[in-house]
Amino acid sequence: MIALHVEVPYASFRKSYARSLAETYPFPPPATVYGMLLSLVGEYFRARHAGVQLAFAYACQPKIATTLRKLSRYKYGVASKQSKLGNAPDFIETLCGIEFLCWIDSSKEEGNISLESRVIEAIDTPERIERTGVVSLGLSDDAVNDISLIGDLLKLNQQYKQHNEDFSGWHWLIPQENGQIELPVWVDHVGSLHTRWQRYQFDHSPSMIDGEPEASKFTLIADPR
Amino acid sequence: MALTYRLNDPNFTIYHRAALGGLAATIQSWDNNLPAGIHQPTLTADGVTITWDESISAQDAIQRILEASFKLTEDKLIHLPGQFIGEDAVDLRLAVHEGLCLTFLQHNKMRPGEKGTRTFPLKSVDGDGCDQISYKAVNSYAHQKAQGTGLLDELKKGERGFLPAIATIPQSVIPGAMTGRKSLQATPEEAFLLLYLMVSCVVFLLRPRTYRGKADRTAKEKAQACVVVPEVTNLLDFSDAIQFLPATNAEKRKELFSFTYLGRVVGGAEEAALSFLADLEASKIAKSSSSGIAGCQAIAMGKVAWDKNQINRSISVRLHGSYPEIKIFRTAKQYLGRSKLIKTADGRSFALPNSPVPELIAANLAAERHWCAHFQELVSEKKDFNQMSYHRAGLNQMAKVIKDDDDKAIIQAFQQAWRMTMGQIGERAENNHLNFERLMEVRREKIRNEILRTKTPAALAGWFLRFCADATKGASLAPIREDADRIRAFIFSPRYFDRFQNLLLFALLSYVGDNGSNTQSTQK
Repeated sequence: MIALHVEVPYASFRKSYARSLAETYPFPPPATVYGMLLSLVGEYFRARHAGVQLAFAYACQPKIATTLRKLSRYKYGVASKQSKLGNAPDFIETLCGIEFLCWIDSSKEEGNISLESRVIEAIDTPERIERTGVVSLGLSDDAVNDISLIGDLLKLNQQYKQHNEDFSGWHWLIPQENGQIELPVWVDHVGSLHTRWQRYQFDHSPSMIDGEPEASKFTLIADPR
Repeated sequence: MALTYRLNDPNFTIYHRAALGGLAATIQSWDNNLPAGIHQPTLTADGVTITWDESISAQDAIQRILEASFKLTEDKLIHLPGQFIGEDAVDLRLAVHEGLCLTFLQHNKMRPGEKGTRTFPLKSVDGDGCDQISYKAVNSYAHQKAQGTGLLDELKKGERGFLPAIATIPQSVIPGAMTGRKSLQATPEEAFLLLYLMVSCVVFLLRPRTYRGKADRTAKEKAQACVVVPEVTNLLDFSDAIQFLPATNAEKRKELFSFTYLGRVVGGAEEAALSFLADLEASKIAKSSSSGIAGCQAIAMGKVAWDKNQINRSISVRLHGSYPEIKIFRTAKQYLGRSKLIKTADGRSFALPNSPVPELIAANLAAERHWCAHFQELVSEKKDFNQMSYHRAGLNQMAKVIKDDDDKAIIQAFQQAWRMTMGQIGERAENNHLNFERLMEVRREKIRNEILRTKTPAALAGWFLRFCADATKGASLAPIREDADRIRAFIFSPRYFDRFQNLLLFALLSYVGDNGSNTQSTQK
């Protein structure tokens, strides 16, 4: 199991049914974080590391900003109309200040090379990785500021405390059957038939994490197709 | 054959859970009048199972269930049995009809109907005469035949009976789920369930104060309707609450915020959601059981500049049941929130919120701002300020339920100083034989201008202290003396500048003398 520190200044994760007013999920969906990790290691086949488990803890709940931006939509199905009317503005929600810890557990992966080992390789020896573009969390303009392996959690906690006196610990995002936050764990980008969600509860009371998360805090990334 | 749904299915979004609440409520409304061939459904707190005879096909079963769930009245108004709207509540049914036609069923093809409009006579609040409300009668609507989902389509020409492998979700099922490159897809069971989202959602007609018609070029928001999607946590409690509220008698319904025609006309999406939550809270107290929901999502829909064809979603906000100052909203809603009907030139009537204050407070609470934030924008114009002063009694009731100690201290101090100032004005009027009312009006307008014109925290704190000192002629003011540290810390803190300014204006407007009027005889 490895732990990563991820920092993204802003990103938008459009809700599955939101085709007008691009509402965002309140946290990066596990499916999107998994996609970011695949991009980091230069993997193009989405199901390659299905079976990996991810756990998340946030420095704070990201704030949501609403802006008016151009949104490209395939709405009219007629090329002449599409070019004229397809790109219209719309309200877009954006998450700001995303900072989280992500644990990767590859023990249930079936492939020969685990995602854990590929992530370590990508961070330690990036010159060996064949990939294109900047690493982003979701949309390509939502670039990642920092993605680093965590060696010592206690040290990281101290660093956070030094930078921010109000920092009092990490907030778990816990999978829970009756949680009130739903996040996709697998996204069907074409028709939504194969989109799968998981419900979560955000732990509002922070805690200083010094070890590995319990099994109940992990989300399994599985290909439903 | 069976359809089984579980509320805690991890693959269910808030829309699925709300739809399951709507399905549960519809099943309860059937009682023993089940559609032919459908067995008694199993309904528990977290699940629903519907079974039917093997002799009928899945498509026929769904067709029969839909027929029993989505109906029309003789007046061609949408009738959803799962909403338990009684025959004596036609006004509420009319509001629901209008709201659904603006949101779920906004496209004409989703609700083909008559070309002209019909009018409905709505009894005036004072019981004197009727107001004519116009509406568009419909002949049928999409949910009656699962239009756009493909559930009841022929798989091959002449072949009926089987459900398709993949169903689609059109905008008539979930507002905002527009068709893009490809339609949104779902399993047939899911698509069938989502048809019931319309049953559990509470629709409101919006009249935001920022919108003043096409002539107003400064209009910022043109939201027309709002859909409140409940976050259902217990199917039995939710369907009980939904059954309880509209079924109460007409007099009781008038006491609720959102179960009359005028109750469904509000200023903003947040006000709509909090009104509905407050009503559910009332049902919870009356039934001494849970309301079965843990908050809701309010979606405002209206015209946007870039799309002339349809009504788009323009706000989506999540609200939970409890806020620290929720009582202020409830009081504002109770005393200021009733909408009123105004007559148009052609003799018809149009409903408008009575006051923008509940809209403002709801928006503040939902955004976790101070409850009084942006109050100054409501009274920045003299005519708005004068208009607001007619609601003094309601504002005073709101001041009584404030919980925050800082807010209470500032309001009390200002009102005490204002009372003494009025005493001085009264004395002057008596000595010089002047009109007390006029003098006081001028002074109040001067205070409003002075508060609005201060641009820095220091200037506002200075103005406030000078106002208090002038009122007492140099002596100390009792509320300031008693809460000196709190008031000092508050008025000199730059971060509270806006809040201080808003509170002072609120205190000025909410002042009511001992005898209930602003013009009490404080001369002596």
